[in-house]
Amino acid sequence: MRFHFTSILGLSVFALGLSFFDCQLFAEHPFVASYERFYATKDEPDELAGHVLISELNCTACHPMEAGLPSKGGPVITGSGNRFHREWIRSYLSSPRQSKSGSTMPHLMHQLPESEHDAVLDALVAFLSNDPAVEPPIVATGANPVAHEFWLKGQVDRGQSMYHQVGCVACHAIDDAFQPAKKTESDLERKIAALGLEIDELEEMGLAAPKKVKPVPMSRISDKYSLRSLSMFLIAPHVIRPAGRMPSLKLQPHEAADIAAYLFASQTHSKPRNVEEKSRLNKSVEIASVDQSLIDAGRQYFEKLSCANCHPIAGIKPKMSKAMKDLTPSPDSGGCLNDSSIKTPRFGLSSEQIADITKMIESLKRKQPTFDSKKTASNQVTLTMLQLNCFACHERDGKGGVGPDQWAYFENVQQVDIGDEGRMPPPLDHVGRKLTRDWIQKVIEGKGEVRPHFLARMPIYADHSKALATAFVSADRIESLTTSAAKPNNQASQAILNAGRELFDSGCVQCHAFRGESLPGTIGIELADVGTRIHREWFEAFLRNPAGLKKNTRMPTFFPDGKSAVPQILDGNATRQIESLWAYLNAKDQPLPLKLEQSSAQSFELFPTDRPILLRTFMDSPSAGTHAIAVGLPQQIHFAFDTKRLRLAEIWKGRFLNAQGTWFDRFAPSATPLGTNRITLPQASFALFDQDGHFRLVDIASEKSLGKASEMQLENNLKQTFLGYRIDVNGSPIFRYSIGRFLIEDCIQAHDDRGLERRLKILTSGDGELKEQEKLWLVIADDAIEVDQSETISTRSKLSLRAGDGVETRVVQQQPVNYWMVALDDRVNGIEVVYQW
Amino acid sequence: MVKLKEFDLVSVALERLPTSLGICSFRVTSVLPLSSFVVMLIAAILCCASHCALAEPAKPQESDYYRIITIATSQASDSRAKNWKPAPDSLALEASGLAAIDDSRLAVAIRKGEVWILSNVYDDPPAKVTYHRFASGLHEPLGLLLHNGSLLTMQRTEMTRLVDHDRDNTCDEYETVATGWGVTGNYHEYAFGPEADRAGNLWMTLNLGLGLKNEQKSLAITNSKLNVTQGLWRGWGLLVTPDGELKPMCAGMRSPSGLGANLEGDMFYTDQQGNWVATNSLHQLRSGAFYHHPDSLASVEKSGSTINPIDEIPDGVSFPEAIKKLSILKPPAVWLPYKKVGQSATDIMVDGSDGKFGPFSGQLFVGEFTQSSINRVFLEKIDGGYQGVCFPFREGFASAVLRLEQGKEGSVFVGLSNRGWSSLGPASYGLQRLVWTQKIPFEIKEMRAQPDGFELVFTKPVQHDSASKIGSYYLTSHTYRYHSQYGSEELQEQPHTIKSAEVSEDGLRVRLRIESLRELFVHSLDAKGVRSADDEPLLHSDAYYTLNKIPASDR
Repeated sequence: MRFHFTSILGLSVFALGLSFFDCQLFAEHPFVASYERFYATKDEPDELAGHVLISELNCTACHPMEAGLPSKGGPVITGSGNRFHREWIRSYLSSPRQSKSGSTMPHLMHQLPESEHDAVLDALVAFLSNDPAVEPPIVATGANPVAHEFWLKGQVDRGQSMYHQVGCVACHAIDDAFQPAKKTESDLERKIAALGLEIDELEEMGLAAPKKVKPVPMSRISDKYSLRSLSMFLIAPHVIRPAGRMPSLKLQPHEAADIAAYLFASQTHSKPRNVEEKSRLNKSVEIASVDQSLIDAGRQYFEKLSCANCHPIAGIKPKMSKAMKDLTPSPDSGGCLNDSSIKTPRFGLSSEQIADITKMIESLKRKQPTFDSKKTASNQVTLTMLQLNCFACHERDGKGGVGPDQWAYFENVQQVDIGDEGRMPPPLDHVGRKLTRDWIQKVIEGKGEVRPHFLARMPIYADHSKALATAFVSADRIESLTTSAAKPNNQASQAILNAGRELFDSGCVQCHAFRGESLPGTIGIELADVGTRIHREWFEAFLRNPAGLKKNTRMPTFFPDGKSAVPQILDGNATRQIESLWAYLNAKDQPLPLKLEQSSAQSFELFPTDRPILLRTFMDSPSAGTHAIAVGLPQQIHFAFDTKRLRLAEIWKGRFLNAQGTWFDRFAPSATPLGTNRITLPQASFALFDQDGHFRLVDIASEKSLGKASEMQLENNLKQTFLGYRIDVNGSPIFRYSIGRFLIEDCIQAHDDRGLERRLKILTSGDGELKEQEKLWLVIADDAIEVDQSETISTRSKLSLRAGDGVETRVVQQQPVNYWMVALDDRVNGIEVVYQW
Repeated sequence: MVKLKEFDLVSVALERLPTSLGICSFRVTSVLPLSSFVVMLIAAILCCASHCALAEPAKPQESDYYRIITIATSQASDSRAKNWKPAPDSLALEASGLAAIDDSRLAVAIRKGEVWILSNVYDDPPAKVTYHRFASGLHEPLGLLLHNGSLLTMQRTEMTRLVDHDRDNTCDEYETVATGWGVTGNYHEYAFGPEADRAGNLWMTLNLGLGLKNEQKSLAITNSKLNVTQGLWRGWGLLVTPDGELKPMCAGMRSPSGLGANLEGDMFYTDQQGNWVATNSLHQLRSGAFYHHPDSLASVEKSGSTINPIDEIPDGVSFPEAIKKLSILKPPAVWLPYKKVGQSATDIMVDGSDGKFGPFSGQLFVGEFTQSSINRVFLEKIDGGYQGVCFPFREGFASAVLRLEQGKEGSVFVGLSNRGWSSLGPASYGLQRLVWTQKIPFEIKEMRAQPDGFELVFTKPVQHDSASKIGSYYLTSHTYRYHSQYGSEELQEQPHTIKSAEVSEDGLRVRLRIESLRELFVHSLDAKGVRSADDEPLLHSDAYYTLNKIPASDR
């Protein structure tokens, strides 16, 4: 149904003439985005503009140039007949710019007599359809959902949002029907508004106004693509267009399908069709086998028309033409600049484009070009940014940046207003001074996400990353600075690290994230490991004077007039404070800033107030281990019970636990007591006496660790079972377990706010009265146990133990462990043992 | 001049577009106020150009037949975020266990360790749902079953009965029903269940640990002959008898996150693609069976094992070959081909509604995590063993489908949570309900093996011409590689010649005669050309039959 609607939708758009794509200016001359933006309306011819055109129009693919400016190269042509509708290929070849407004591909057919056109086109289409489509394999994994035939499952509304949010509109047309979630003013808009003006009025007043940016035209999507081929193209554009001018925006398959569905819906007047693919398992379409002689003829025309100069194909050598410097750049010369020439490709250049190219070629003839891309790194940066259209998003040296019409479409996830910094792609002024070469390269490769709150994505320009990163660094380097990242100071003293942590709390935490944690509602750049990205010198300079390095920044000055705003830390010494912050940000093993810790605690720390809180979790061994139940009591005395070994394993006071790891961490880390006065009790639980009067520990869990007491025999025949727990009226757990024939209830509660009181009750003990040898003894072990006059037992770990009145106890002092044993009898109220520490 | 009636068709169609389509609503409003002349003119243009679009029958959508009602969904941090946090200020409804209680209430276990009772869950729209916490402090419960009047759940270390003695709607006894399997503390040691079979046994399945650390290995056991180390009974299916005895039953599981019985009370589980597991699969749980993963054989010599120790595991052979070489290895009842029928199978639910959930009564429905969808399985018994076919059924849930539970009027609760992995859909977790719209989709209801092909049973009569044309069908078969690597490509794929397609008199059945069927291979059918008597295309034309056995005679 979807496509049916889509087609109707497309129709209404078509009928009303309202399609936003139709509203674009139809470009009769080749459209090069950065040229259109910066040079198309310049009065004077510009040599740099000529360079851009020569690279983007692939002039050097035929006309070699000593300076070696590479041409961008054309799309991979192999298998296009299986990617694009063949009628489209035919019409595109017969008149590129009528099929795709502004196409940079020249008209070639006019070099052949018109009477031959039909036959030539048939042959070329057959040739281009001969190979199977080159498509990247879409690997589905647990991290990458790939629905079967996902390209048929795109949703128009989702695609529309995505198209306007991830960055497509930096270059391509905006759909007026799409409303950004919330229109936030950019910094410039705000300033203009403060003057009581509107952007349009600036120019009228003779002021420099931000210029509108013309969108890069698209082909008629439905004429050219199927949903499948468009989705595949959007996922990995570089496979088809290695020049990288259309970059990958890291779209997941379903995202690409959504955008494809939207583009069809918004632009088309007919429903998506399958391209007649020539693939092994094509089920629905039988492709008539094409005459091999037609394919061969196509190959010959391909060669004859020098198509291979831009679209390399194995076995066809490019046919080079005159060197660039030997060309006579005159419209009357009969070359590429002359549209009436029938011996050369027809480019249909505008008069401005001709002038710029002419100027550039003339400079070559003078052999002293004023512009040479290799001459300075700065020029190389500018040229690359023009070629790749980095300026569509990024400003550098006052040039470029997101166009005024596009401002509203760059948003952050929560539409929080933290200025342009919080939503616009960052300016690249002095970026080579700020960032390390490796980090710049990583960012250009589309990795290195430090702004996860941005909706727009940094695309992937993998092939240009190394050269461009190096050029940035060379262009921006300040001689006094080191070029490599300063190594984080591993020797920083704990005092320095503590100071850094405090400083983070005193300012940074208001806006920045640290190790993925941030205050609620706060979005900002991640600061952990900043030394892997940013030069130490820049860091210091920026902290001392943020606005000096970044105009309009919302980063406040913490060191007005060079003096720290926090005089109580490190004597207010600015240099040492910055050093401590740097050390802390780059340290691996330091605790989170206190405010972030507290913020996390607020969500996930458990505070027993009126009733006990129970949490089953993993705990470390020798604490309660994998079968732990941690119990927090309102008296702020807590314990962990090991349900596998049936023992009270750990006791502590103060804060209880943070449950985040247990509740929400995929890797199920052990929970760690937060409080103080922690005592982990040695492993021992119950014992029996044998007939010779020797006691035998009950081997609760068959753990080797119990074998420490080597002279003791282990009792293996008793069956022990944890039976669960009941919750009494106060919310306290009563653990229930059986050991042999004994069924025991074990209730542990707070005792006088200072310790724990444990009551063990034997519910069943088999038949008749217990003989001495059959008694079950509770065992508490320690490496040193002493008895004082009042029958209180104290252990090395400062634990005092006392049994209730009239209860039989024994102390067994062995090496290396001592045991305190409490006889369990079947008195109705059970046996009480008090733990104080 | 064009008749206005045709224009009405268009405007009706436009109105039916989802309102979220900003462009369309804009277009519609700008069309309507125009003067009648202009309207006529536009209508003329529309109708001329739209001729082909309107002539074709509308493509059926899953939502026409099965409607998703959202009870609660939330968007949290990225599903794989290291510091994952739920959406602020709301219940983290990561539904990991579902149990329908009565005509108003549903119990929901959530991954952080609680059980909640939701009331008024059948309201449509669900505006008055209330939430009450019944139990807490559980360790990642991954199942919930209403059993003899109380709720049973599986925690990492035990099966637990949640009892409410004083009937105040809050659990006051957490009774350990079974424990004792190996838990080394490895995150991947999930425990699933319980589900009850015909005999009243309570089944559970135990995930393998992944990448055990040294201190975890010290709590594991090793089979040195096979060089495998895992906690006791990890990778096994176990049951608790009505007498309370815990018995290991079958082994070879990797990540068995779903269990469920069919109407006969036989128990099944799903496994997920990974090392040794070529693609997701559905198996009958039964004593002595070994399914995929040799790591589970760490426990094979322990008392209670139902499997005889073996010396060697073939690594890198085709699955049919592995079956020959490894006598304990049993083929799945259904392979779920990767991507085509999901990427990670979860829960199993039988439609026991006797027709209230549509035409698939008695069939199994399998949750799908990564693609946030549900697939459908039809099983038949050949020579005593289950085998059958899977079909795509319904996609478009808000997040990973982890749990399924049939409730009132046959409607199905769908428990969602994608934390730790990834899924389609806008949400991180929540609860949705799937309701049949009472319209019968045109689907292949059953695909049955025959000695010389397959019999297809449709939900509605087919159009004779299209269904009897062999060009309406396309069939290939493939198998998988049994190896220690992650997943497997589709191996030895080949197309089959369809010799004939005979339509039954009532139009509900088609008998396909096919050349050289292959035992133990998955036979993938695409019946794209078949139309219903009303000229509808199939809602899903793909079917994947796991042909473990070719029946000896017509059935």
